[in-house]
Amino acid sequence: MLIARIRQILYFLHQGVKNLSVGGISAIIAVTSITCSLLLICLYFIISSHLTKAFDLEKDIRVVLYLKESVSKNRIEPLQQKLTNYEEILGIKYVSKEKALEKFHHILGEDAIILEGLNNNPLPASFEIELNHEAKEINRLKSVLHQWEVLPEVESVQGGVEWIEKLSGFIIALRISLCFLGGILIIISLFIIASTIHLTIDNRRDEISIMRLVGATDWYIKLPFLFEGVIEGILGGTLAIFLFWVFYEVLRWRITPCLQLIFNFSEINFLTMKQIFIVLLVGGVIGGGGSLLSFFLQSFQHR
Amino acid sequence: MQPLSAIVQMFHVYKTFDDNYRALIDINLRIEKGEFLFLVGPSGAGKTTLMRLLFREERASSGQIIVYGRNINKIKAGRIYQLRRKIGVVFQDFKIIPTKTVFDNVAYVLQVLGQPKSEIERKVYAALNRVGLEKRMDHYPKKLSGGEQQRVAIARAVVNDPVLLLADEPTGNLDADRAHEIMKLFNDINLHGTTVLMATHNIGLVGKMKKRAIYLREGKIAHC
Ligand SMILES: Nc1ncnc2c1ncn2[C@@H]1O[C@H](COP(=O)(O)OP(=O)(O)OP(=O)(O)O)[C@@H](O)[C@H]1O
Ligand SMILES: [Mg+2]
Repeated sequence: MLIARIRQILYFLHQGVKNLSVGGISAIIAVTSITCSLLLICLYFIISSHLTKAFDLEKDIRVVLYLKESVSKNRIEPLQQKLTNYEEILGIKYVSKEKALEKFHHILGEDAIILEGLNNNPLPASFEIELNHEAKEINRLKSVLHQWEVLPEVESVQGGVEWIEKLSGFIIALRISLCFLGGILIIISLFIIASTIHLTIDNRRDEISIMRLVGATDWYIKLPFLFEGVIEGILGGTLAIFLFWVFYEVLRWRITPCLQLIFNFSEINFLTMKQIFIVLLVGGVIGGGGSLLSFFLQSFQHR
Repeated sequence: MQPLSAIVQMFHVYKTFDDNYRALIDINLRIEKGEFLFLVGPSGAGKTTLMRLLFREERASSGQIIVYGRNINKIKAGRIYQLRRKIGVVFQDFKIIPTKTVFDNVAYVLQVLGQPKSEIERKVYAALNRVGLEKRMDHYPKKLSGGEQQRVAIARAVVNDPVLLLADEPTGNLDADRAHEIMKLFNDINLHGTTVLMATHNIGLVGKMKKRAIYLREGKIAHC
């Protein structure tokens, strides 16, 4: 009984693959369309996981207080004391003008030559402040930052609120647009798959009517076509992951440095195993869904 | 379970097509187990339609049809395969699959039922042996003559030991000698216990076989 089941499943798989080769151009179009949809999902995964990562890094939000040029060295110590009293502060570090220049040198690397022409240091002194995650609550952060902004020694406050607000707004917008685009592409793929499956069903119409005649069950007839769709979907998923990986390898070396400056994470990671699995799963589901759609749209004229 | 002395019973069966064409009118018919029955009538009389009702390719517009103890009008679409597994069907145009070998065309029926490979091989060989094609089992249908192709179709129809064999004009595309051989084959099958219903408008053939015949004319059973 079990062996018979396995044999039948092998038969369905075999038929599914055979159908695929019969499908020709139309199967290629179907796979391509699934690949496009899934590439979008890959993109969605990688962007959203890295943006949330960037966002998460700010769990200890970093804020920089730039000090006025006129602030003298002996006022630094009391100011630091005052700031430390805020319970939102996790750590505070004073960066002198000299230190700031040194750091800038470091970031520029070889390009630091451009700094040689300067005869005085244009960089302001600053406090780099790490806030604990209690301050992540936007309103609280806002009020704290506002208090600091009006301190007489402070020139400007950088980081924090606007950035977080912008970032979360951006993430939401990105998610919505990717979902929207992905949704449309998935629907298109569904219909392309359905029409491909319809084509192979049409191709084998005589055979199907004979199968019905000799007493094949509905599912025995339909399963190979369902498998055909699922295989097309998983193929599309594999292709999407491969293309995305190529894309990732090519771009990684180019964008990592600038991302480092903006978001300060060390490197972009590829999709996790779980995400890869989800992409393949979604591919299979789209493929299978396409087959079901074609059964639904054109149930082999069965009464 | 009722005793199955009748394989087919039809009570006041009507078939009206969508265009209001009345293809069958008040058909009453009983086919006994083990019987060989001819269905004779001119083109358009409704022979094919009657047969299609029996394996639920069409559904009667009214009346009752009992096949092997089951009221087949009441079978749900998803269960029709159960009926079909008990019935073998042979057509005038053979309807065999050109991309499969002779063996596979016949084995197909049993694969659909998920039977074990060794069993399939044994039964297919026996069926092909019965129609005299065991030596051609690896050939593709296009290499076979019309008579041989019809034998493949017959082997396919009987390989799973049906209780009822329906043959719609099985000799219509064959010359007289080939037709005679095929008729002998059906007679053989019938002698082994399978009930046979055969539609034909070749009255000469019917006369030679000395079997019961039913005459259809304009959708009605004509008594003559
Ligand atoms: N699906 C259908 N829709 C409408 N009319 C049909 C359909 N099938 C058959 N008919 C009509 O029913 C009548 C009987 O057809 P049927 O095929 O049963 O005749 P027949 O006795 O088998 O003829 P032949 O000897 O030519 O095969 C014909 O007039 C045919 O046009
Ligand atoms: Mg006919």
